[in-house]
Amino acid sequence: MSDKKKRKVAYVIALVCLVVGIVCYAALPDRSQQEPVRVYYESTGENVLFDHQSHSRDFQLGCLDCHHEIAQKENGSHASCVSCHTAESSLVPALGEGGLFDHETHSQYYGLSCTDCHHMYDPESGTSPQNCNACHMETGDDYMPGLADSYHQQCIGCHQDFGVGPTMENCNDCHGPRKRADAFHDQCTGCHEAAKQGPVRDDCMGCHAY
Amino acid sequence: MPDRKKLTVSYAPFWHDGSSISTKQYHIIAATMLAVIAGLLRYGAPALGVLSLSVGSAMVWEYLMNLATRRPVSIADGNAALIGLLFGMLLPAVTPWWVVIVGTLVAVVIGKQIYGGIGGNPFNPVAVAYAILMISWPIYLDFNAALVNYSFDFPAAYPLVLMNAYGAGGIEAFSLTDFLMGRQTGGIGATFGLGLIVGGIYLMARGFIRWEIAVSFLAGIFVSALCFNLYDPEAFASPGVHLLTGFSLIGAFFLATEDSSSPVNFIPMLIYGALGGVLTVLIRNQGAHVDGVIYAILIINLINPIIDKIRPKATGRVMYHA
Ligand code: HEC
Ligand code: HEC
Ligand code: HEC
Ligand code: HEC
Ligand code: HEC
Ligand code: HEC
Ligand code: HEC
Ligand code: HEC
Repeated sequence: MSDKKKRKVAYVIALVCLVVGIVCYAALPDRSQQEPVRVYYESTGENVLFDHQSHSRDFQLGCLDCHHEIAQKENGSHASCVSCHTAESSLVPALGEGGLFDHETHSQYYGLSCTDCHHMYDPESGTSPQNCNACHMETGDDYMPGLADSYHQQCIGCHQDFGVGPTMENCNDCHGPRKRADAFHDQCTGCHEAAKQGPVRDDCMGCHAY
Repeated sequence: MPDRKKLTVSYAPFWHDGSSISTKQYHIIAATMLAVIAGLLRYGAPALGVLSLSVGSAMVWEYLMNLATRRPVSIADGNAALIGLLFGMLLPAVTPWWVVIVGTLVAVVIGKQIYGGIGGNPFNPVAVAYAILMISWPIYLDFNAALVNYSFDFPAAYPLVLMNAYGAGGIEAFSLTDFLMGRQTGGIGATFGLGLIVGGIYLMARGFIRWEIAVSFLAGIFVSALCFNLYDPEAFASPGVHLLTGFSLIGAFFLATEDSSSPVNFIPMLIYGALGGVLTVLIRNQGAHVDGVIYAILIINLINPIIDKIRPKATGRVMYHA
C-alpha cells in the first residue's frame, strides 16, 4: 500500500471511531431516576459503596424500610435521601427538615416564647416577626452585631444558659454535615444492629473503605 | 575539521526486528484484542464509546499536531491509534467524554508530540496522561464510583481497593481464576488476565516487545509481593493476586515496554523492569495510592537514561586525531 493510500485508510478509521464514539455516548441511558444498583458516597472519611441491589433484592428488604414514609408521601417516589437530608445550606445545616434551623421544634417544643429570640418583636403589634437578616447585615458595627455574630451570641447564649444544645465547644453540631451523615448512620447501622447482620456503628471500616 | 556533532548516534547495540514502525504498532494493537473484546462483552456500548472516542480523538490530536508543527501527517503509522487504544483500555467503562478527550490530548501532545513525535518521548505517553488525570479528576477514574450502575455476578468493588482496606482478607471472595478470566472490575481492557498474557506472549515471541522488560517487571512484582506476603500474610495479598489485578499485566506487556522510554541493553532492561515491578508493589502495599503501576512506570521512565548507561565496555578506544 502506498503512503497516500495508508493515510486515507487512517483518516477513515479515525472518522469511524469518532462517529461510533459519539453514537455510543449519545445512546447512554439516563439512569438517574431508576433504582440504583450501587450508590457511591464520597466522604471525608473513606468513601462508602452501598449495594442497593443486594439490599433490596438479596436481603429482601422492603423499599419502605429505608425510603421512609415521609419521604414517600412528600415526593410520591423514592427520592434521594440527600434531597432532604442535606449537608450544605446557607443557614445552619444542622437541624430539621432540609437541614435548616429547626424553627418549629425550638418555638413549639422547647417552651420558648417568640420574643426570646425575636428580640425586637412586639407580639401586641399584630404583625409577625421578621428574619434576623432583615436588620442584621453581613458585617456588623459597634452598635449592631453582624448576622453570624448575632446568631452565635443568641443561639449559643441561650444554650449555655440552659446547659443544652450545641455551644462554642461543638461547632460541628450546628455547622457540620451532621444531619446528612446521621440520616445514613442512624438508618444503615440501626437496621444492621436490629438485624444482627451487616456492619454496626463502631465498624467504620465495614462501610468506609472505598 | 569535519563537524563531528552532525551524526550523533546512541550507543550500540541497536535492536531491529526487521519490520517498520507501523507494522509493529499494528501487531501491538492486534495483541490487545482479546482483552479489548472481553471488556466490550462485559461492559457493552459505554465501553465501546470510550474506546472509539479514545482512539479517534488520539488520531485527531496527532493530525492537528502534525499540521501545527508542519510535519508530514503521521497518523497512518498506527502509533496515535495505539496510544488512544491503550489509554482507553485503562479507563472505566463509564467515563465522561471530555475526560477521554482531555486524556488523549495530554497523551499525544504533552506525552509525545512536544518531544518531536514518535521515538522522542522520555515518558510513556499513556502513563503521563493517566497520571495527570488521576491527579486532576480522581473521581472519574475511580472504578467503584464509575461502575455503580453495572450489576455483576462477582464482588463489585475494585479488588485493589478491597486489598488496601481489608488486606488479604478483603479479596477472599475472589479466586485467581476469577482474575484470570476477567471476573473483576477495572479498566475496560485491563481485567481479562488471560487475554493480556496471550497477547503479551505473542508480542514477545515475535520480538515486537522486549521480553526482558515484561518478564522482569512481572518478576519484580512477584518477588516483592511474595516478600510482603511472607512477612504478613494477613495484611498483604499473595503474589499471584498482585500479578493479576489492577494494571499489572497491561503495564508489564504494553506500557513498560514502550520503545522510546525504555532501555535497550540487556542488563538495564532487566533492572528497569524489575524496578518497575518492585515499585508497583511498594506503592500498592505501603503508599496511599490504590494501584502503583502508572507511577512506577513513570519513575522507571525517569531513571531509564541513567540505567541505560550500564553497558558492556566497548573494546578499543576512540581516536580523535588519527
Ligand atoms: C437498605 C435500604 C434501602 C432499601 C431496602 C431500598 N432503598 Fe432505594 N435507596 C436507598 C439509599 C440509601 C439510596 C440513595 C439515596 C441517596 O444517596 O440520596 C436509595 C436510592 C434509590 C433511588 C434513587 C433515588 C435518587 O433520586 O437518587 C431509587 C429510585 C430507589 N432507591 C428505589 C428503591 C426501590 C424501588 C426499593 C424497593 C425495591 C428500594 N429503593 C429499596 C436505600 C434503600
Ligand atoms: C422528602 C424528604 C425526605 C427524604 C427524601 C428522606 N427523608 Fe429522612 N426524614 C425526613 C424528615 C422530614 C424527617 C424527620 C421526621 C421524622 O423524624 O420522622 C426524617 C427523618 C429521618 C431519620 C430519623 C427518623 C427515624 O426514623 O429514626 C432518618 C434516620 C432518616 N430520615 C433517614 C433517611 C434516609 C436514609 C433516606 C433515604 C433513603 C431519607 N431519610 C429520605 C425527610 C426525608
Ligand atoms: C430559638 C429562637 C426562636 C424562637 C423561640 C422563635 N423564633 Fe422565629 N425565627 C428565629 C430565627 C433564627 C429566624 C430566622 C430564620 C431564618 O433566617 O431562616 C426566625 C424567623 C421567623 C420568622 C420569619 C420567617 C420568614 O421567612 O420571614 C417568623 C414569622 C417567625 N420566626 C415567627 C416566630 C414566632 C411567631 C415565634 C413564637 C411562636 C417564634 N418565631 C419563635 C428564631 C426563633
Ligand atoms: C427589626 C430589626 C431587628 C431584627 C429583625 C433582629 N434584630 Fe437583633 N438587633 C437589632 C438592633 C437594632 C440591635 C442593637 C440594639 C440592641 O442591642 O438592642 C440588635 C442586637 C442584637 C444582638 C446583640 C444584643 C446584645 O445584647 O448585645 C443579638 C445577639 C441579636 N440582635 C440577635 C438577633 C437575632 C438572632 C435575630 C433573629 C432572630 C435578630 N437579632 C433580629 C435589630 C434587629
Ligand atoms: C432561648 C433559648 C434558645 C435559643 C435562642 C436557641 N436555642 Fe437551640 N436549643 C434550645 C433548647 C432548650 C434546646 C433543647 C435541647 C434538648 O432538648 O436536648 C436546643 C437545642 C438545639 C440543638 C440540638 C438539637 C438536637 O436535636 O440535638 C441545636 C442544633 C440548636 N438548638 C440550634 C440552635 C440554633 C442554630 C439557634 C439560633 C438560631 C438556637 N438553637 C437558638 C434553646 C435555644
Ligand atoms: C448554636 C449553633 C451554632 C454553633 C454552636 C456555632 N455556630 Fe457558627 N453559625 C451559626 C449560625 C446560625 C450562623 C449564621 C449562618 C448564616 O449566616 O446564614 C453561623 C455562622 C457562622 C460563620 C459565618 C459563616 C458565613 O457563611 O458567613 C462562621 C465562620 C461560624 N459560624 C463559625 C463558627 C465556629 C468556629 C463555631 C464554634 C466555635 C460556631 N460557628 C458555632 C450557628 C452556630
Ligand atoms: C432495613 C435494614 C437495612 C438497612 C436500612 C441497611 N442495611 Fe445493610 N445490611 C442489611 C442486612 C440484613 C445485611 C446482611 C446481609 C447478609 O450478610 O446476608 C446488610 C449488610 C450490609 C453490608 C455487608 C456487606 C454485604 O453486602 O453483605 C454492608 C456494607 C451494608 N449492609 C451497608 C449498608 C449501608 C451503607 C446502608 C445505608 C445506606 C445499609 N446497609 C442499610 C440490612 C440493612
Ligand atoms: C453501615 C455503614 C456505615 C458505618 C458502619 C459507618 N458509616 Fe459513616 N457514613 C456512611 C454513609 C452511607 C455516609 C453518608 C455519606 C454521604 O453523606 O455522602 C456516611 C458518612 C460519614 C461521615 C460524613 C462524611 C461527609 O463528608 O459528609 C463521616 C465523618 C463518617 N461517616 C464517619 C464514620 C465513622 C467515624 C464511623 C465509625 C464510628 C462510621 N462512619 C461508620 C456509612 C457508614
